[in-house]
Amino acid sequence: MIENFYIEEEIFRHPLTENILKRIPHKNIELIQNYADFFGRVKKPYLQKRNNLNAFIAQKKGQLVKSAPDAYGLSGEPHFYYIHAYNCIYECEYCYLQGHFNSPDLVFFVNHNEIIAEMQKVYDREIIKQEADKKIWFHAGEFSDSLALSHATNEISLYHNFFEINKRAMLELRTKSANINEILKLKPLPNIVTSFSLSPSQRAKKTDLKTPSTKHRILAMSKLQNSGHKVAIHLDPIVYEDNFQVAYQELFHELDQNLDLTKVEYISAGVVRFTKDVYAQVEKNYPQSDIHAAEMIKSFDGKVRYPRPMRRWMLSSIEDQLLKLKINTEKIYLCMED
Amino acid sequence: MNKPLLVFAHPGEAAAFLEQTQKAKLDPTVYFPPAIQPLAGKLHTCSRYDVLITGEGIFSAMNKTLLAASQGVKYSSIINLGICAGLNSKLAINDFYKIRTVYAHNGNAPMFQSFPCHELNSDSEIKSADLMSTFDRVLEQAQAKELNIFAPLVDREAYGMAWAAKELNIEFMAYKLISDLPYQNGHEDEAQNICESIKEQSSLFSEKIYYEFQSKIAPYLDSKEHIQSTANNIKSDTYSQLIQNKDMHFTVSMSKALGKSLKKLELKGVDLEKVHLLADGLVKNYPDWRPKQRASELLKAISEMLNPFRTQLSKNLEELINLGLTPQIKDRINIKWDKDFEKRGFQINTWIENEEHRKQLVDAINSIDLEKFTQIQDGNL
Ligand code: SF4
Repeated sequence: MIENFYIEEEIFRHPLTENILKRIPHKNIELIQNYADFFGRVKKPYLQKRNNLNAFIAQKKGQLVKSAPDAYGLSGEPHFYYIHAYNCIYECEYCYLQGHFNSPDLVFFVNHNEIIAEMQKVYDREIIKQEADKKIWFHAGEFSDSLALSHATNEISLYHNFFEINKRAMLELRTKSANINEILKLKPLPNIVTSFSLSPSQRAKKTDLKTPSTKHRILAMSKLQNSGHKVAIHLDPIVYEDNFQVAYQELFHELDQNLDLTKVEYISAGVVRFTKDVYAQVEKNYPQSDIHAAEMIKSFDGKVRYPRPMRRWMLSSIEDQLLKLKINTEKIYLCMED
Repeated sequence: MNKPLLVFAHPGEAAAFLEQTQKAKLDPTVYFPPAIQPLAGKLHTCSRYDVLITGEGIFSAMNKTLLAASQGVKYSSIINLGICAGLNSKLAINDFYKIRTVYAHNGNAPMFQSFPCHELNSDSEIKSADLMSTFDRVLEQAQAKELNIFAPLVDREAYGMAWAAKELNIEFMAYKLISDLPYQNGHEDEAQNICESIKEQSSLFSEKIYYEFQSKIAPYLDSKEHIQSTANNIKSDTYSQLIQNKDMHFTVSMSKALGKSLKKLELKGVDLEKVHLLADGLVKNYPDWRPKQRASELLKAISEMLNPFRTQLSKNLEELINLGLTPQIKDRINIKWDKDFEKRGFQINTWIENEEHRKQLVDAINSIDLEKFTQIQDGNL
């Protein structure tokens, strides 16, 4: 339940605004001039999202499409991301958003046509630099889950049109939700991939607070795959626990039972890591999390991680298990930072 | 047991509490040295709590709270009680709120830093909301509307008190009674009348605050849960038992490390009885050791329990090195590697006095299976 919706006056009558208001329960609505005058201007405690969550409906200004950080570079092709929203309704204990914005309040941007126009410019500019078999990647979900509220924000179909026309553009919709209805309504395209972040069930229960269970995410993946949509998997973040290898074995077994793993577009794996600031936030917000009992160290780049041999061992254990499932090596991306 | 410091901006808000401090036996403690007395706020005291009146405004509230809470008495918490204004039509006069987070507005812009308030077990019985302390009085509709986006309640002092509490590392709480609704005010004259009316009603407001405090806050301040949450957060008695153990001596930094490590063991679900057994074993088996040496050994053992992967890696590396070293060089050579394992390789420290030593060193280096060594450091166990 949203406490207050603050809406920029200019877009109050926008159809997407109306849909958001219709679909998301809320107590009050206020009109404002510019969300940036209020959002993040004071430090609002992150966990206030549990009982005092506000939301802004606004227009994204400034750079609408940005170069993606290295971790996105799955395939040596250019990667970009666009921002459809800030913040998230879920509450993963390791989420980097808790150290990123100064507020947990949600921001929904509705000027998708402007964002798409910018994507077109980026695509036209980049495609001429690339060899014929190379693609240009666009990612959603850098600052918010791409699907969790997609039934209310309603923008997926707009982006779908863009990717239907621009065949060498790839879209990755990254999610921890099982809210796939908006995608199921659309024609499957070879260049739209919905990627699900997954952890073993017990781990997700402990750490991915308020998200759909691993089982539900896998069922959603299966539905998408059965309807001809492309899916991918992010095993990220991998958190160590005593039965870590068995837990992943069970996860892979469940995936194998529900999906055709050979048809999954890619599987990426990364071990849990935090910037110093995010780690401090996690300690503050989730002092009882077993993440703090782990063997973390401050690593070469200042990030808080498991020791190097441990992360390498964890990733290679995951890789071994995936290879046993006959997954093509070229589809496996291990996030090795060194 | 430490008592709380109740902080009010105005004597009117505190009237009902001051009556109680006068009825109760006065504590004769002299709080302030003579030089500081003129700067201090008015401090009244009884056995259950002290009452401080700071005067109006964020800075006065901050200075006076800082002075009062840093002199002699160690307070368990600083609690701001008083009246505030409500900024929207959902709020009503006489409503009582627990403050969640305190913000401030300097007249031009909101101030970035905020102060989340400590939670009590009773707080679910009381409605909660955020509060903004402003430099000037909020008397008009337009201003009220803008501030309401940050917080629906407004006062002029809580931010200063919360700031002081943070500086002193004392937990802070605030509870407010709504005394006026400035969003209803049309023009300035009307607004001035409101101020007069608040003054007239101050004793009624104070009684209401006193009633809420006595029934919904005070009982929980003394509760076990509260005391525990303010201790070092370790559920068991292990920490205090070890610190008080005469056969162990923990320096300040070692005590800190012990507290942190025990907390981690708890998070890992380890039975802390194991730590007691370890400690008993050290006392029994090493009667000649100094207490600090035993404490240090205990910390090392706990660290191994918390870091099994690194402990195992080190053991594997030590075994590999010892395989090739001759007894002659073993005592004269020190081989180290990065304890966090971020860097591969190793470092050798030795002293070479003659040709024999040089040869022993070369043999020692050659005896180490470097490929295997770096494989272990790469996580191939
Ligand atoms: S789903 Fe993603 S964005 Fe949302 S809380 Fe979890 S990690 Fe953060």
